[in-house]
Amino acid sequence: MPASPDRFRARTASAMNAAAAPYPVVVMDAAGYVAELNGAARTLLPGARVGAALSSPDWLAGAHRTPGTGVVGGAVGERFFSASSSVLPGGDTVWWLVEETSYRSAVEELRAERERTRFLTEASSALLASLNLQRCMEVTARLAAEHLADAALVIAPTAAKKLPVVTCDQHGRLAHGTVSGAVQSVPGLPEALRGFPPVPSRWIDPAAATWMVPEGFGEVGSLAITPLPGHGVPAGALVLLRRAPQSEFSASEEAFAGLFAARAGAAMSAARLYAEQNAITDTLMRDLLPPTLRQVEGVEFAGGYRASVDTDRVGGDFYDVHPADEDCPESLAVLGDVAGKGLEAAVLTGKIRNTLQALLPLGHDHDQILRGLNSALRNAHSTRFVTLVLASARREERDVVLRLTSAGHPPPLVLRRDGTVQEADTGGTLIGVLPEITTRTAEVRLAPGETCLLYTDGVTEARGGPLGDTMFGEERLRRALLGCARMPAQAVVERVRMLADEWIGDGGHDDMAVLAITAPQGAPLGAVDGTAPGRFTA
Amino acid sequence: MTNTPAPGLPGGPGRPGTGTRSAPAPGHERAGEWAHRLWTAVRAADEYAALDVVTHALAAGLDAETVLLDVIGAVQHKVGAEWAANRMSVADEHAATAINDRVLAVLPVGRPDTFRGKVTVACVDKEWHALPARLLAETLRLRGWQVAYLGAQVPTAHLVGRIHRTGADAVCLSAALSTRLPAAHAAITAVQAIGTPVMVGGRGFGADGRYARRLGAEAWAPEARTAADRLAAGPLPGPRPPHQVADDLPHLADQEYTMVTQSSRPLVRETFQRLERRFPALAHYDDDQRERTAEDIAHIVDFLAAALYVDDPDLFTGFLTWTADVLTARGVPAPSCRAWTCWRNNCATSPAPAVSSAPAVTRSPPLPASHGHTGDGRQRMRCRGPAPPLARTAGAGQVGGPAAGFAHAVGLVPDEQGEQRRHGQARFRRVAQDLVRFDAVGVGASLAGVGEVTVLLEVGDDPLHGTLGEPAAGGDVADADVRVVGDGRQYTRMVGDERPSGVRSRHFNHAPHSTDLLCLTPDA
Repeated sequence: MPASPDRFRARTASAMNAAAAPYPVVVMDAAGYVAELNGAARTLLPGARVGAALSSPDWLAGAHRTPGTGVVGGAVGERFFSASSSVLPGGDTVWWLVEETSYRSAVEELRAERERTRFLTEASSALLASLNLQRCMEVTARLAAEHLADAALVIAPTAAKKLPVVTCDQHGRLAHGTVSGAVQSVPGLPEALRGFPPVPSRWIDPAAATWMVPEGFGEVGSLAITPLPGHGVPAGALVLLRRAPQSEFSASEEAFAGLFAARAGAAMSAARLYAEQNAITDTLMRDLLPPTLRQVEGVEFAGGYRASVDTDRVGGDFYDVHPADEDCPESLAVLGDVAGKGLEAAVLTGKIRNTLQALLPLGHDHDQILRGLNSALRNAHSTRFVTLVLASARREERDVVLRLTSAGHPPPLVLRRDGTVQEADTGGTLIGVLPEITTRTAEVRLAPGETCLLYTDGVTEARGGPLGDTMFGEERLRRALLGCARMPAQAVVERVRMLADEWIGDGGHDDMAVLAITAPQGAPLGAVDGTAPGRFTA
Repeated sequence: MTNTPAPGLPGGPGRPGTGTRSAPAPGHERAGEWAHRLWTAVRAADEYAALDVVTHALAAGLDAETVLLDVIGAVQHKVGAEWAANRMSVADEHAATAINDRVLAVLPVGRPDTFRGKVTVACVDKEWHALPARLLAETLRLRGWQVAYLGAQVPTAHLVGRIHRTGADAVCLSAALSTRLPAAHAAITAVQAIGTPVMVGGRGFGADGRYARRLGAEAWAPEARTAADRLAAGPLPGPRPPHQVADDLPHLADQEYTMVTQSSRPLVRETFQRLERRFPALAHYDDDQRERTAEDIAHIVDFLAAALYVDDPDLFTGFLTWTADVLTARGVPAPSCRAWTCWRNNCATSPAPAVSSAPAVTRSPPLPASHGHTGDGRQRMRCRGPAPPLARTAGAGQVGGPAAGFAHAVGLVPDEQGEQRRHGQARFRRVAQDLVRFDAVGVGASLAGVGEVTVLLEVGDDPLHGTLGEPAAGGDVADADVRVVGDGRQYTRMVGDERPSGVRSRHFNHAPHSTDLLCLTPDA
């Protein structure tokens, strides 16, 4: 029903004048005809005429046709409005429109920003988790393929000609490979690998990069290359692939890829640094690690080591076995304990082990070796000293004959087949302190199955036990060995280590080393390869 | 130490162990014969003969995995069974394991056609039983994986550093004893935190891998073949985002585990001292015996702590059952087991269940659904099903508490007949005799029993197969003439007798140093 001017005038008496409202107001009657528009509404809805049905916007007309609709909203041209209704006494409905354009865009931006932040947080924690370069490359490729593109490649620069590449395809599958010359064929890639700023994606012709495309990917629509900035050096390049016919990467997408790349690059260069440091440590440490022992010349050797700091691999205790050679018909085993702990002590053990190796030709005379070592240590700058045991071993028939010399060290224990445990009768002064030393060598014959155990005081002085404060002690060690006759050397060592470790529990301890020398039971010499060249260094 | 484990957990019949032949490979029929030959060589401690057996088995056409799991693995099982049956000494067992370990080196190095991936295999910190992990490592190697085998007792820091350096698609962690679960959890969490999924295995995680799930591992496998199959089936799911250890186990917030672990040494000391007062015979023990006894108490505390850690009383009671059964195999008479049954029945809301011929361990304890004790106002029913929290049970002054259960379970009261049975060790017999006079249904008796525990925990490949798995050998839990110990309060005042309103909260609030949480002896 068309509204009459009379009714309009009657309503102007209202205390509230909608016509002057700064918001668009539309009054419609029950049939959907516009009864009234205020100035703002006329400006906003130029197509709306009083007395005509409201045709635009659809969402408002639709809401009017459905009584009971609460607040509605929608686009008007480029802008967004929400509309609330109130019913007039005459039955007409007033629609109050409030502009929400900036609110909506703020919400939208917030959502996108949150999305980005969540992704970057996820990316950071995933990237920070590992210090392994390959793993970092995998994580980078996977995250980029999931969030930034359809597929992604990570290329790491190395000194080698072939560069490692990790590809994550559109299904999230990872592939590893290498690339060499093909890098040059892609515009922007060599530059990115050298750390130059990225080339805009629209300049790059995807056709040049066929080698990058994962199998089954289809036609590449666009391609973006982002350098991965490292700690001062380029950490590689990230290549994003999008399938046709998607639009190319926008400037903001490329900028965001840059943010991600910054994190990935930092993680990758940290991983590279860690790997380099580790390689250096491993190289320097190689000669300090306890060697892997096995049977030498028909004599079984086994060693066990536990550094005072559980995360260390070296400490102030050491052992070595030097197989017999032309100069010396006996294998020489040595186990010792340098005063002090940790890396500094370990470095000294390395020196002592080297000095002992140089003194090997004197192997037949323990006293002479120890004198040589004593003068070498006293001449060195170090004020440290060392206690050690030398054991020369040779087979005689099925027995093993040992010459044992202790230099200020706990004498070795000998496990007999009858189950008794004896202490070798040897003694001497410690090395590196006094100008003159004395030694006393003991000769011990081991029948098959008998073992001679060399150990450091870290074992016997270990504190712990069920009551917490008891010393392991030599007596307990002897008791532990009672059951060990006829065991292989390795089993004896493991038993002692296990008991000592259990004794210590969670408590602190000194470096501990044990070395077992056993006359093998069973088949005669030669049944297995009994020789091994050089010093055994793991 | 390289042998498979002991107990930790009740297991069902036919429970697969590391190296069992769940999926026999071709040539399996012949494997038994070779296993027998290898067993003979290992038993004679003849390393060369053992090496020959394996070399010949390979030459005879057995494939390497069959030799690995059905010959070497089978022998290692037998070592465990023989040990559990008391036919092998600790020394023999160590020697056999060392030889088996050496023999593994003979196996050919796999030359995989395709690169399957990198796997790191390690035992958790303080875990000495390395052979199951070694068998897995060799199996994976044979199947074409690049394996880094780190051996026994790998500190978590080492493990993590290693994975940083070399990378790994998955980490396999082995724990034979459930007391290693806290360490295992630390390792699992740390490895996951560097983005690497973890598969766990070994007895320590429960016969059904229940603790593996609870500790958040991505996968669990009962034995080497299953583990290898799982890895072959596809990559393990990616680990959860970095999280704290306590996120998996929110009940740790109640500090029970922390308290028991932190005060374990004083707890042991105090218990031991009270035991000395209450049980004069202890004064005649030599140092070694006293130490063993103290170690046994320490083991009880360790298992209690582990049970609190995973919030599962079954872990603790399973340990007790296992102990009782292995003692039975050592000629320790059955009352222990009968008492054990009684304890379980006492706990039951329903009348004592009719005990079938099923192994004791398969009957889940019908523990009360709710507990009378609400002293601290918190009704903790957090663990699945009806299991009551441990410490509360222990603290509630009930004879049905685990501590009492322990006392009964391993407390043996030898009778005339028991006296004449073969005893493993002289000291044990002497203790047992003393106990007859002591008439201890309670704790003193238990300690005599657990005099063995220390030794038991050190060794033994798979004793469960030898004893626990078979009801006949496991002690007659079904025995009709179960002695009534339900009224054990008349003998033994348990922890918390004086304070039924909640030992746990009291200790935590007022007496963190208190040591009588696990005091097994009544005050004289």
